[in-house]
Amino acid sequence: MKRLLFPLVSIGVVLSCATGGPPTDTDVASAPPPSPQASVSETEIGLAPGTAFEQPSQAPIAFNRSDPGESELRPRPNDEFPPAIPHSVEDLETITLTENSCLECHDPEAAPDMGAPAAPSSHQVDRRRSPEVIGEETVGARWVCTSCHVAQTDTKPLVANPAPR
Amino acid sequence: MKEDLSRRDFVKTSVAAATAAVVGVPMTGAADPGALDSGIAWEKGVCRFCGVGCGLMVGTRGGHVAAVKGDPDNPVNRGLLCAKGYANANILYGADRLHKPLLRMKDGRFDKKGDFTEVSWERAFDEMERQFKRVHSELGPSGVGVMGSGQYTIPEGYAAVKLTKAGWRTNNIDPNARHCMASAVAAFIQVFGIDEPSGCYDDIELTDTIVTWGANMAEMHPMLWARVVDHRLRSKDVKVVNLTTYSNRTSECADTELVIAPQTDLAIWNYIAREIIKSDAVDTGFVTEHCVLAAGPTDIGFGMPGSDKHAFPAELDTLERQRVVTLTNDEAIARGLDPAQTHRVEQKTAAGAGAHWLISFDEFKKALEPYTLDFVASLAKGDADEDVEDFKMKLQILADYYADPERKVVSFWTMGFNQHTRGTWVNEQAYMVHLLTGKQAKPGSGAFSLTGQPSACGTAREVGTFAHRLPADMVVANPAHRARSEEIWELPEKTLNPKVGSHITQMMRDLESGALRWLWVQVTNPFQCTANANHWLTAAREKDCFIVVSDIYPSYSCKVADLILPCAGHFEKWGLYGNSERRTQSWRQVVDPPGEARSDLWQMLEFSKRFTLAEVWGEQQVAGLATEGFEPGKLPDVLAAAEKLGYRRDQTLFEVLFATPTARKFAWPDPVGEDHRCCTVEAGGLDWFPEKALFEEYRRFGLDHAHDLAPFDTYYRDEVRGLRWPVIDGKETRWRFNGDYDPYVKDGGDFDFYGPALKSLKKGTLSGPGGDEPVSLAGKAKIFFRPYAAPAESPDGDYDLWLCTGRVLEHWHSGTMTRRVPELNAAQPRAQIFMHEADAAARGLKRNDVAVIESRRGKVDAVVEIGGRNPVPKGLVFVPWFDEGVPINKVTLDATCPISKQTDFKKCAVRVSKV
Repeated sequence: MKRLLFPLVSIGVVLSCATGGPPTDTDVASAPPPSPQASVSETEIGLAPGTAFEQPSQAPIAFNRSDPGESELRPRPNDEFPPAIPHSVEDLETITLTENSCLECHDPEAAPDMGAPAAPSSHQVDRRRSPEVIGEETVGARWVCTSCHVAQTDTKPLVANPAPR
Repeated sequence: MKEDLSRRDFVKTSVAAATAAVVGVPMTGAADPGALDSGIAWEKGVCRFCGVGCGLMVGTRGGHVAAVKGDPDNPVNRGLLCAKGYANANILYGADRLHKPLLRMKDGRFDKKGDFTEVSWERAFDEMERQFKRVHSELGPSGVGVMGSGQYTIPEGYAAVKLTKAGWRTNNIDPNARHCMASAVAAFIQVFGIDEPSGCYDDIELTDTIVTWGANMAEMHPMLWARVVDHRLRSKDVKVVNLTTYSNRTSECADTELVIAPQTDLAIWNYIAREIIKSDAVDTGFVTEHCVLAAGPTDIGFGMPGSDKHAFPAELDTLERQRVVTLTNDEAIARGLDPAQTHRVEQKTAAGAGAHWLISFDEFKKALEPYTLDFVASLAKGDADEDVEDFKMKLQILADYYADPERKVVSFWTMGFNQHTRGTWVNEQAYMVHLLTGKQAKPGSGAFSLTGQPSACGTAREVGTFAHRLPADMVVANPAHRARSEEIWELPEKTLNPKVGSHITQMMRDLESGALRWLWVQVTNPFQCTANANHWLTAAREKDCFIVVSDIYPSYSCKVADLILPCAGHFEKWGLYGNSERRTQSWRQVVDPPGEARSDLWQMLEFSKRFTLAEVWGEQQVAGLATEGFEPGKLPDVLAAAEKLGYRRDQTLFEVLFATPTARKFAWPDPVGEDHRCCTVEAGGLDWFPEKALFEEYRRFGLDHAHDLAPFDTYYRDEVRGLRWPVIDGKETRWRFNGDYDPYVKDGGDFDFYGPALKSLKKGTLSGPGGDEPVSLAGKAKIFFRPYAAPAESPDGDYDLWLCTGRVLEHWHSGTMTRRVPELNAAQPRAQIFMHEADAAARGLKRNDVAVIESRRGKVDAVVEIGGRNPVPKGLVFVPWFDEGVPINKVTLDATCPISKQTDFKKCAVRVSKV
């Protein structure tokens, strides 16, 4: 029996595409012509190998060990996507009501000295109360940086995601 | 061939990655990042994920969703999104999107042991129909069922209810939302007589105090949490308190954190209520005028099966507690009994757990008396390393916040309350405290249940995709509600089945027992998200049953399906969702579904063509049906009555339920469509607009019924960013039951808890109702006394740790969509087991080691995390459930709240060891 022709990505295939890029239209959401007899086993679909009755093997997670400043920003899937955090945050203090270890480097005032990317001025706009005004400080609604900016482990995609740009 | 294909994809994506420009942080000074948007067309939409309901701008280019951004005009989120929210575009483009129906086949025929084989839609529906009719002829309407979700759009959920309840005459439709907020619903109905919150998100900016109970808002409702943090940072007088069984990100921006022992929230509320009475902080005027006091039975079990027939041997001791409970010392004290005695309590009222009656204020006070500071602190302290005096001080601070008449308070909760074997009780206790202090239904004050899913409120609850519900808070067990629904749906009298169907966990049990043999799963992943999953996975594969899963990706549930149907994603179809604050929001289809993927709505409409009235509206056997006006065990033949209404026996359900003369008047193309397409129309070859026709028909249920929605077109107007129902004369309602804001409050009244359900009760004492006639409680809310009760299962010598499960910020529920977004996958690649360092060390485990987590029901492996975002106390482990590689629901216990039938995913006993 023929195997499936449309892109049911088998688990064993490790894809190196980290964050996708600008594919052409034909890369996305268009399948090759289907074959009426194509088939696939339940062990080959989904994000974990094997049947639902098997215990997938677990291996240690490859945590990102790089210090701030050591890593390049990774490409973003699109211009609206908040940049992922390229460095380890494990040794940084959590964000509290009084402390924000992200802003210690990424606050626009601190960033040049720290050699860090500065939070853009959009982060100083209180969109709820005064959407036209760029203020002096990072607004409260954006205080918890990790709501939008996520740290990255060294993990390959489970399946490719050639998101259009 | 497959390898070749994979290699080709590999090369393609690698080239794409290699040519991608590295995009830096935007250094724009603009609040509007539109400068970066070359060639993208933007329009309003709604986030696909949680119940916050953030507004999006959806950007399309070249026939694809190129990006999304926060909608600055949407008051929910004012232009911001969380990490998941920004991935709304990307979740459509995982390389393994389903493009064709897949049926298990061998030698060209359906075979339960066969491989998934591409088939046409026609062939897929042929098999669905054949299997349905085989089961239906043997078991009647009770043998078939639908599992839906709080991610159905409103028209989808409405179509599903109509097809199952009016067409197939089965009430076996239940959403995954049962796992999410059924306890909140039960409490709303019992306390207010009507579902959904009195307040709205505006309360955040208006309050002085925000208390989160079992709600890790920082991860599960991030943009609402952003509003909380924003408000708190503006004023030191604003206080934030987090009650939780483990430290989490919400603790990080709280003024006070209380790490509590599992299940002791029940005792803490009673302590607070006792303090309020002791310190004379009761708002006597409010309570006297607008409230009554109530109590209910306590011997109600834990929603576990009443029979051991299908139990694993190791499950028997936990199951025994469904029949008999020996009270713990703490339970005895909490009920004013002598803890030195043994108290064996038969669980006699499991079937009538929701019954309740009125009690006096003296009885209420007497019931609270055991909940002293000393007792509750020793019971509730959840961190063995915390000094009990410190914990007591925090309890006192908390009670003071609630008691202070000058302080406004909002209490938020999510799964920590709702997923609880006393979930309805603990919801009711929140209202108990808020009502006692008059801090309910007022700007800045109220107990506020947050929902998990984008349309748990809008669809699951308001449309009523539950086994017991009909639209607009009506229920199948109420003859007047059935009659009203039959009138709107133009059905013969007694078409609707009065017997409540199986809730979602019961449907799984029915699969195992053979009572349910045909199941259609829509917009959910139940074999990953239902507790005690080993039973259900085995049933799905080994029993004589047919399981259809509709999804956009091959989910974990697809692995055990017999037929997989490829679906349109959210922006590939038209839809409306309703969020946690009663806000109904809409979007248009902006791109086409891939391949042969079709909208869930088209699937239902198309499948409904396979049934004539003669096949489903004749006499039907329904085991256990015992309702006045019906012959026992039977639904009547309504075909003759149908003919009197002008129907023909050979008409299809499509013609009778969906393509009605009224529906077909909603012509397509429609001006509201502007230049957008509608995949349901196109695939169906229709000249009418099903999404709009269904919404407009559904609206009729809520008009003048305190659930008024605006016309379909209103939600699509450019200037509208959703509206909070009831929408009266075009105006939304921010605070229900409050005469200053809610048009449904009787003229001149300050407050009116006008919900109609369960508003006639007998008087009684804590031990039961008296024999008098029931009294009317019109306009009143109920203040319930509910006692502390120990959980269904607690750690012991064999299984020595608490297991709590939950979600993470980066992934949506079972991860089917978000784990296919590389950035989110890399942020949270796998579910870890969060352990206390000492517990790990005692088992020879350190960070990143692989541990096996084992309960009476199953085991899974996961890597260990210590600290991190969830520093758990000794004795408790936390494992998220997003990862199908760590299917933790093989381990969890399927005990439910006996009233709401919502599973307690937060408490069971496990042991952990090194692999």
